[in-house]
Amino acid sequence: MPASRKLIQSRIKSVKNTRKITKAMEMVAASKMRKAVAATLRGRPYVVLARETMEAVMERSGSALVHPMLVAGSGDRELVILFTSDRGLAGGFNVNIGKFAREQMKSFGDTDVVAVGKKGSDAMQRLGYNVVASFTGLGNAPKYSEVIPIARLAIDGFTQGKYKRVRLFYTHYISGITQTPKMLTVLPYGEGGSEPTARSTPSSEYTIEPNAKELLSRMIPNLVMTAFYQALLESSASEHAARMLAMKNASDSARDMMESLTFTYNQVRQAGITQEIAEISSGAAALA
Amino acid sequence: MSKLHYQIVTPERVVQEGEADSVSVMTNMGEITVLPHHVPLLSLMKAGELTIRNGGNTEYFASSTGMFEVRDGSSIVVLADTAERSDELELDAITAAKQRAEDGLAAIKNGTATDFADATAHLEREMARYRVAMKKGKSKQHRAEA
Repeated sequence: MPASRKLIQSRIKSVKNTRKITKAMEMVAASKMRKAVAATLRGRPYVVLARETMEAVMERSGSALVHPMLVAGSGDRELVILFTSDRGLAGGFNVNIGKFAREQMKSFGDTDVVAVGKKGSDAMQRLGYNVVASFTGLGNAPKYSEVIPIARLAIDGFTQGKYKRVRLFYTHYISGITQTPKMLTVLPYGEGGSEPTARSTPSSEYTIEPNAKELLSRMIPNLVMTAFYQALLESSASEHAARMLAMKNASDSARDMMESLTFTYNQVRQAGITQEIAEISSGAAALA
Repeated sequence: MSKLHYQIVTPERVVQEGEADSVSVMTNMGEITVLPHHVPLLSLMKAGELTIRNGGNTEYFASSTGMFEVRDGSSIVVLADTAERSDELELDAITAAKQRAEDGLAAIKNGTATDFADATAHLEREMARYRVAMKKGKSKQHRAEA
């Protein structure tokens, strides 16, 4: 059966080529993931220190402190920031966060969506959500300065009384194989339910310049931006981890497929040889 | 003599931490120098130079806006939006960036207040980087002469 042999051969070749691609994507994703995870970890000290500082201000000022960013906004709309990836082939990454966000959003009132990443933007638009802005091309190693416009949009919307709350939906990176969708309320600040940091400073003798209110007006937006930045980094790390796993699975099944095809190929080849020998020997027998 | 423990952090990384004799920071109300046993203090920072003296060594940083905190008298935390050590700065690139910032500022003089504030902040940051980069250039010359 020479025709079928050729068919199987070309099939093996094509699977082999596909496997080369998935293997390459797997390795690229692995190295990008390492970078994204490192960036996430590098950013953590700032978050911890800034929150400690924030707590010192709040503690010092006590209940006398009223700041517009600490209470729910006067608006009647909700703002949701959805972090997804620009590219697909990342397993269930975009599907999972999208599903989680839609599930949570059911209980919200009127909601505006800001999509970060092309996939989320496309999906939300298709599903008929009110996508007010979409940011794409933030890529693999996002810079802090790149999230400022996104955060600015949210903060301005909140302070101008358009939104009641600002929430982030992103994929939290736990490990190379586990990532979970997460919701974080960034505005009003402090509603996110972050556990208090372990720090004991006798805050009574604190000098605050120029005053607590002005300091908070600077600090809260800063913390909000940092939350955006961290969410973007986490999401990027998760994206690459998910892609790495998806590509690893694809490479593995390509190898299995190649093995079974090679087995079939050998069987067909052996069947051909056996048949030829049978023909020759029966021909010889007929002559004798 | 007791020393100060300092940490300079930005959202992107920990720029530097260590021990020092004194740390000078540009606050909204002028430059202040923090020595060990300073009272706990929390203040906003302007874009400017940040100077760290330790023994005979002086290190310069260009920092943008942010805040800083003196904790327990001997620990200082600088939370800056961006900060760079002088030897990370490239004078040529900064001169160009400063020029761009100035041009940008001139171009939007008639724009909105926010645009103007953004451009001013940008220019201030580039000016700070420029000054620190100039200092680094000088200290290099000194070394060459010596």
